[in-house]
Amino acid sequence: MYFLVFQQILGEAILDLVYFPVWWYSFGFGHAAKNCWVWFLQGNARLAPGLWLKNIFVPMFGQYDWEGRIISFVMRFFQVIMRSLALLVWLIFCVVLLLFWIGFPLLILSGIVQLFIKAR
Amino acid sequence: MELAKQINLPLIYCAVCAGRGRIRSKLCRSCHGLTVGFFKRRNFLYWGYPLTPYNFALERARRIFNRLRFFTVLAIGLNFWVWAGVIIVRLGLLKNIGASALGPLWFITNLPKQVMGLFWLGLLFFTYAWYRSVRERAIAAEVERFDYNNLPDQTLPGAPEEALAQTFADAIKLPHKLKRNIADTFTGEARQAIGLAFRLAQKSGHQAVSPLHLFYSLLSLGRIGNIFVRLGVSPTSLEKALESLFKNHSTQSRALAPSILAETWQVLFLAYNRAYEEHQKYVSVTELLEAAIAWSQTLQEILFDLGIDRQKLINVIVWARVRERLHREAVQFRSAARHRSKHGMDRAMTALATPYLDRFSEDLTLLAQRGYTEECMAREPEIEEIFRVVEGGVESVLLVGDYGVGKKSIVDGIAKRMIVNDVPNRLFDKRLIRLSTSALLSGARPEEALERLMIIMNEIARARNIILFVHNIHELIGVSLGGAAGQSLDVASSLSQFISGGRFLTLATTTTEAFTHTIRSSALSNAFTKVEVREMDENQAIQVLESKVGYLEYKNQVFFSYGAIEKAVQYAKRYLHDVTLPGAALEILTESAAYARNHKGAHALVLGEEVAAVVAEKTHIPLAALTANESTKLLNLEKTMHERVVGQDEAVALVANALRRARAEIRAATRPIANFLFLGPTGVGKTELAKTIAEVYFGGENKMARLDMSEYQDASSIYRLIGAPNQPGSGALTEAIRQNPFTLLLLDEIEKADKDILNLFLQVMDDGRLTDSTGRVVDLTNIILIATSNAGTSFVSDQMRMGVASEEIKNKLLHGQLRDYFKPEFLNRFDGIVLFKPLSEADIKQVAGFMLKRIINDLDAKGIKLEIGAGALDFLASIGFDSEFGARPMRRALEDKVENKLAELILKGQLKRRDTVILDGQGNLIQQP
Repeated sequence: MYFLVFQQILGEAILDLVYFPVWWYSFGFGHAAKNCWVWFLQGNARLAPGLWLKNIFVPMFGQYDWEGRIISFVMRFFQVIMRSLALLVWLIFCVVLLLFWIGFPLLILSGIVQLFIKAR
Repeated sequence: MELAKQINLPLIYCAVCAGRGRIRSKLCRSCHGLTVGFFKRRNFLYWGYPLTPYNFALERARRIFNRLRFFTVLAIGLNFWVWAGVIIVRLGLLKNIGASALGPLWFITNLPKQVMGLFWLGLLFFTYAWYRSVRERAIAAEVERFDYNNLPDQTLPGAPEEALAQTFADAIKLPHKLKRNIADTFTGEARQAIGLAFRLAQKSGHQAVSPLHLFYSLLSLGRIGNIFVRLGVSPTSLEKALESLFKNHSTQSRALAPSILAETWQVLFLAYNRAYEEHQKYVSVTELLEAAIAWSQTLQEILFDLGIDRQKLINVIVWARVRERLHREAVQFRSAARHRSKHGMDRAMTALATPYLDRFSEDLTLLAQRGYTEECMAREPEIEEIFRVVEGGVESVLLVGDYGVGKKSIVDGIAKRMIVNDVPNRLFDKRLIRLSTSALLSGARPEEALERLMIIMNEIARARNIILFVHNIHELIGVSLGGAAGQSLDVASSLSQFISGGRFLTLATTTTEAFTHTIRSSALSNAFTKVEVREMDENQAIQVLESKVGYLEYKNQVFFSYGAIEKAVQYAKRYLHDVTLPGAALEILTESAAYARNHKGAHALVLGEEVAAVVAEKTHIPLAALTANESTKLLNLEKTMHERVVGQDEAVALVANALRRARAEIRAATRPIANFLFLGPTGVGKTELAKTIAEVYFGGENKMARLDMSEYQDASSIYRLIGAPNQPGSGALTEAIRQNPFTLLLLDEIEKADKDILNLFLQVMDDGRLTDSTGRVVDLTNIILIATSNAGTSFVSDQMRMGVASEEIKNKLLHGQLRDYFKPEFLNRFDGIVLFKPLSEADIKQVAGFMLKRIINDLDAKGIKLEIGAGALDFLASIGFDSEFGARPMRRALEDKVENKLAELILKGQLKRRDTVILDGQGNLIQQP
């Protein structure tokens, strides 16, 4: 029985090496995509351009006079643009991270392969 | 004894493969590998993990191999990088980083090939190690999501699903996603426990794996061990108790693989069911433990003997889950707190800064954000009620409850929920500000304070993101600031004007008493919706304590058993009435932790006994477990009492039995320990017996509350007993019992009290409670009430003289003479009415002996020895006996014949230390040379 167990473990270990890249681009990718999405949502919660847009006509700091309203509108307008841009940058960062996930094994592989090419 | 309810699930077993799923490595044709299972919630739940020695060995080997592989891969990766580092250092490449204009970039691009190779290889190994750790953490499947539309338990016999499908043929036809392999939802630890149980059965030579094997294997796991430690039972001692069971039953060779008992299959499926009912994602070892106990009668008996019942076990398992949940929530909370502004501004920046308000307040949301607020447990119904009111409209909320009931803790809980945005829209992204009434009123004249309040209210209204919280709002109403006449501050109307204006939301708290007396009659009552906060029940209090003991454990370096927490709550509820739950119980636990640390040292387990000792010290009520010494004392109580009381066997036996019942806790806990009425002529020992009880049981003659009822002859004197309405302070009776709840209450000469006062004691004797003038309930369930009476004495004496039996006299008294003094319902409430017999001359002689003993002891303290000569007692009895007046004439005789003479001798200086004096048969005191 112990030999059978050993045989099975050995087989599984070898299969696992083959499965590693398969996993990386299937379940692993899902895992990474989920994490990137969560990071993006956290960024959205922090920057909240939507909330600023919703309140674009609401005066800031309770300044209800007309000067306050104008200044607030201008300020909020710029805030919405800047925050949206920042969120976009954050989104790009998250996507780059995901792309990096895809490219990471290739990067390692190319690094190792290049060594052999250079060595020859 | 049934510790847990045994639920028999309608499992079907594959007889062809005997639950193995495979026959000679081929899939079983009958069950298609579904082995054992049953239909539930439209699914077929089956066990798809072969319970064979091979599989267990494989599982174990996988566990070991996985660990080895992980660390090996990590070590190889690290090795590559270390080599790379060594080469860099040897070649002196680090010096080039500073030398090149490009710096680190140049360094990386110009590294030698072998270094880069080692770097990439290392990275490859690290990536593989990370992949392994992710895969090992993953559990193949989750328990079904709890379905609220499918609440009734359909596994019970007669359920419709059971009738629908019963065979593997039906199960095989089901779509793949409706066939659920429950083995996949078991955590690695749970599967490890099953494997250990299998190996144990095999090692012990048993034919089958029983729930007992499973339980034993579970004990070796840390989480389960901790549960039993919390229950005050050492896992090792339990293991030892079970080992003897295993040794006696070996029936087959160790080489043969044991089968799985039907009960064990039930345990596995029941554990899955428990996980489903508890909304758990996975089946963990705690569910297995519950199920194993439910299916083993032997285990239940063993645990019952160790004092573990079902409720205790479940509460400790819940405790473990609460700890895990609190930890998870704390992590989520910290992450949410990071996203909130630390400057009191809402996210849309529509709010206004409130510099003036900030001077007189503290920001509860900011405190919660920084982690300074405590956890609010078991108050979900109240918080939900508050949220309903808040969502409902513009009304503000007033929390009404007694002191210490946890009103502020509820508001703290709301502040914490505001951080994670788990609140209605009206509270979303707002600040919860607590107005400090002391800061508002300090150093200001009434009109200034009012002005401050107006500015604050206006600021809050303009800021738009503030929820105002006023703790003890009654403090702001009708407060006199001690200025000139008429300069008192009553802000109720101004405050109500703002609050009812609906411009901001206010939460406030007040006590029940203040609500009745102050708020209800003020303008504020219309501005608020009242939410009642009641005292917690025992289970809620236990939950709260479970969430708080972590801090106490850390601070005192001790561990609490579940028994300690349970006892603290029970004792607090029963004996500490001044503070409400859970405050009182927490106070007891805090002291018990320090007590255990001092007596047992660091890392000790705090048990119920330590809690009992702490409460006993606070209340003077004997709560600790009976010691052998005390048991002997209690069993010989009559003998001890007869050392002071002469005769009156019936009364002594009655009292001794009541005391024994009380100490063994075989009595109703909702009424006094005992209520006795002692009848009889003067000087027969009624009061003496009461004093004796106080001495032998309550720890001293002075440990009794004595009320001379002759002082309460008119109806108005009731206020002296329970306090007068609208007056400060309490009454003589209520205060005495509040000070010392474990005492003897002696009502001397009760027949002399007014009838209305006697009515007061009807309630005391029946319910063991009394409400004083301030509305506080005084607990009288730990007293012995003794009323003495001389009523009908002349009748008793006449009857005795006529030679009527004492039982007959008592009956005549109860149905005749006593009716003039007491109502039948009053007499009916006594547990015992004892007629004290008049003392005979022989009794009086004995009494003389007791009294002389006291004089001897007094003289002994002065260094003088008094000896009783022959015939001295007879002489004293002859002059001190009077059948009508009992023992009192004897006291006078002793004063006259002994004490007066002794005093004279001492004053004249004729009696000095070391002298001996003898009382002879003629009552003379003869000095010995």
